[in-house]
Amino acid sequence: MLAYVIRRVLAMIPSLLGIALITFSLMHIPKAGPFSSEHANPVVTARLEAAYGLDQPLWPAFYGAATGIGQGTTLVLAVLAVVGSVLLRRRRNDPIQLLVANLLITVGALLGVIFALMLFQGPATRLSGSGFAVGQFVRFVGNILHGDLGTSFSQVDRSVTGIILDSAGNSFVLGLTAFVVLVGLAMPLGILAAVRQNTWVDYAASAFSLIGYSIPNFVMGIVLILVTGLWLRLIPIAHWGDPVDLILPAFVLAIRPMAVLTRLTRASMLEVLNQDYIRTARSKGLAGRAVLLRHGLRNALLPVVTVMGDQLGDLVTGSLVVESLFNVPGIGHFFVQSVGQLDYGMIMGTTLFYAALVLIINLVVDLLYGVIDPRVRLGAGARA
Amino acid sequence: MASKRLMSLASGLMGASMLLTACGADTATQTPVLQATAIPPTVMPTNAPMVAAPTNTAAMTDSATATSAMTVMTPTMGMTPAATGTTGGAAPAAATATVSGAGVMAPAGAFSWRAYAEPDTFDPALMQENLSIDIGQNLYDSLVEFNPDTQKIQPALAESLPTVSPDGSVYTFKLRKDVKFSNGDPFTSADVVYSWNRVLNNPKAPYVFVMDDIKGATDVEASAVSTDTTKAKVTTASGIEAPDPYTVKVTLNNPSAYFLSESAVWTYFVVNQKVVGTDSSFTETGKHLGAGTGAYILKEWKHQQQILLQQNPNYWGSEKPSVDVAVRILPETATAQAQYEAGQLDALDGPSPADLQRIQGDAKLKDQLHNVGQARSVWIGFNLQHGPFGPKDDAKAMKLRQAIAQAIDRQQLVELALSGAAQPLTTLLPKGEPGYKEYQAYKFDPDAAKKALTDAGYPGGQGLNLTYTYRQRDAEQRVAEQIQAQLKENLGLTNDQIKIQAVDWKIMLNARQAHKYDMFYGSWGHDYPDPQNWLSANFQSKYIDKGNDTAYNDSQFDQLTQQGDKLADPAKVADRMALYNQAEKQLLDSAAIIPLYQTTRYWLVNPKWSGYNTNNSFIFPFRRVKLAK
Repeated sequence: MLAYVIRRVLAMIPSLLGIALITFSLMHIPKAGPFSSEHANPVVTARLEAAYGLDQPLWPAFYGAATGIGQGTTLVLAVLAVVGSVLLRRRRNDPIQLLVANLLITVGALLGVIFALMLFQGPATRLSGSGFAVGQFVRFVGNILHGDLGTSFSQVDRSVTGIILDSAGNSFVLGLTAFVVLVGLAMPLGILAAVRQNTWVDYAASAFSLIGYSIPNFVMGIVLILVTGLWLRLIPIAHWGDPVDLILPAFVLAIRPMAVLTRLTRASMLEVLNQDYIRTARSKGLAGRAVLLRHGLRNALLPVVTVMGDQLGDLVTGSLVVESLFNVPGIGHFFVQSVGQLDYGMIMGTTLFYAALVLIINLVVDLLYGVIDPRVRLGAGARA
Repeated sequence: MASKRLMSLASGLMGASMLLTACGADTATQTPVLQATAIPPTVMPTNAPMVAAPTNTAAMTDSATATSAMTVMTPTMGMTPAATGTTGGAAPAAATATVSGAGVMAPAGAFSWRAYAEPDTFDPALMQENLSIDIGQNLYDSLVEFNPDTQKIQPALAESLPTVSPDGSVYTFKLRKDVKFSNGDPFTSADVVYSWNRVLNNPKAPYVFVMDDIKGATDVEASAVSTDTTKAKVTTASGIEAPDPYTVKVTLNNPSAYFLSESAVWTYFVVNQKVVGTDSSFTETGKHLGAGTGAYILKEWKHQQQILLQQNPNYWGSEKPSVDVAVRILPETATAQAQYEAGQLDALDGPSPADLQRIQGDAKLKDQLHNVGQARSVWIGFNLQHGPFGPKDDAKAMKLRQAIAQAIDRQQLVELALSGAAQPLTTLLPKGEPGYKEYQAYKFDPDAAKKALTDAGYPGGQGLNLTYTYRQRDAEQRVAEQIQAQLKENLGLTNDQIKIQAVDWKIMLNARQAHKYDMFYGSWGHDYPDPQNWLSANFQSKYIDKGNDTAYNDSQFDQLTQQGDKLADPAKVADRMALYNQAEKQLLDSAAIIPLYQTTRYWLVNPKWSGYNTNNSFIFPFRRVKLAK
């Protein structure tokens, strides 16, 4: 079990690296920079780019006089490594030679990729002198290892880590509250709708789901603000800092997933309740409650928990609309704004943060499967 | 056993939700200081507020759909402990721990003002965006400033306007001797020299170019990012000198008539050398207290919530502030509107255009709504370098530009696309700007437009394939659709002959500067009120590829504006303006751009306050705000 968790956590590292690589590549596609400005002053732009290290090439590269020799050497080394590996591989029975061959082919492939990248991205002309630059991506990954996500370009001089720490907590609290509201309402409602199938309870639950799913959350949010804050004057509008402030945004955030979860719980329960073993349980005289919860709900829960995991991930990562409507100092705003502003550090920081969060939630969901369904065995222990 | 655990999980989740709601209700009853009780019921509006569409409607779709991997094995009783209750049990604890404590409220008696976003920074070296400047100008002063009412330049930290050498290249400022920073430190010329050099040395300073005219400034700028270790670092500009503690002498590379205006820009704000020192992120570390001479002190900066500005007891000016200011950061206009109407907000700068009609029709709100034509104009720009609209002097290209200019009905455009939240404009410089002179090169005339189109070689639009590229934003989208509709109506162009295309702002800026578009959205809001900032920087031929996006190249225009840029003699202001007027006429006659409108700034302010006013620039000192008698 522990081994399984450790393995899964370790497996997150390549996942995150891959996500970082894709995000990094994508955000450099727009033909614009974070310092594009109406003033179009090349000196100012160059100074800014130098200050933030954006004068460096994106990927590893040689520059200046070293370019030709460096690139040539890379290519030659790559070819040599591949050829060497192929030659070594001919004698397969020697494990050490095989290991060296595998190592060589890896190094060769890596060098080949670097060579291709260097050709693809063109010469790093913005650097003076000559030498080798590791490039922005490698540097970024290196900085992450020190826990440094860089500084934001738009929130000048604030560290990305600091911004995330300041705001993600609020989004997280709001998201968790919304999740509690979601599960606390959707599950009982879904179960009730299944048990009382085709009665007014069922229809009411369906209507509730339909309405909840159909109303856009900004409409619902504004209406709630107007009713509670302006007409009835129950609570201050869009205030943040007291537990009571969580109610409205959490409800607005939860209503849509609530609709989904209610329907899913109902469908899943219905399917299970029509199974033969439920009839068996009933016929052998078990109490209705026990049948419903131990035999029914338990088996109906697997798909529900899967969806709940996704929904939790959705909720705790914040929402631009709900957060700005209720003025929650959360992270949703930064995540969305950073893209328009091409705030590279913020884009990378928030994306990786979200990715890590989702990966962790997925792991928790997988662990929960084991709790719910004894057939599910996780990790190395399962093989015994 | 397993089912028990499951039950406890489910009930834990449900219990948690109840617990949370209960705890929320508890605090509500225990703390009677909620705003709800403080608001008199009489503030209720008579008619129901319309639901305004929020400004940010882009729904966020997360990447939380990653599927979970699971392994189904043969049924054995290997149960996984823990995990149970981690989600359910942690929720209420985390919630109460983080959210408890007093909420962020505007302090009683303070003037609460809405900021539409989180300001970037309060470091004068790094400021560039409106909000930072709007607020920052209350924290710092420069040697001279623009009068908020007249926009005329007036002394601030200098005791009088500087003396200018006869050739217009040396400016000597005499400083006030009674000025103190907000922490009581005396203000001297050393602080000025330090502050200005500090900007030049900071490679992140986005507005450093307003100092480029100072002798030696560009050397410092270059040296700050140079990696060449063989050259000694240049950290001070030779053109900034302090002959004595109360004199600052500035030497320019060339005579400049607009330097005085430039020196009133935020980049020239003076900071306290003793406080700021070498700390490049001083506003983040709390060192902002005592850093400025302004009427206010940056007391507290709660990100995404509130900024508190406290009256500076050591303020040197004659207009002393009389009230603290709470800047409420409210990105959502609909929320801010509701707060304003509930009395939680004293001033709302920029109500939603969709809400204007309702506000104007509301008996109570309509008197609280004010507006001013902003120093921002919007035009259609043409690519004079290549494509159907260039070159500038080609007769047919000229006729084509003229045809479009005469086919645009500005009045209709402003009414239909912008609900009247703008005024039609026929010049580059907007009304109220120094150097503004009424002029119209091409009147709206559909018949003449059709004839010009035929003369251009496109009878009835035949053979035309135009694309108008605009900034991806609601208002610009509606304007673009109007332009398309009007060209269809007045020139008979089909939607294939005149297409519209939205582009993200940063991408548009780059492509526009590279002359990639034939016909595009152009706009300018001044950095400082001087015609040089409008005409020279955007249309002189030396700025082609650097902001002259139409690639307008006219030697006569260059000559006129260059003459104006140099004419520093204060006695010859009228002559100087005449030069710019002539240059502007030259530009408009060539139809390189078609001016469309000047934007209007609206704001709501509670009548219990007086003195809150904004002019066409971004100058509105909070020190003028007072409780109305």
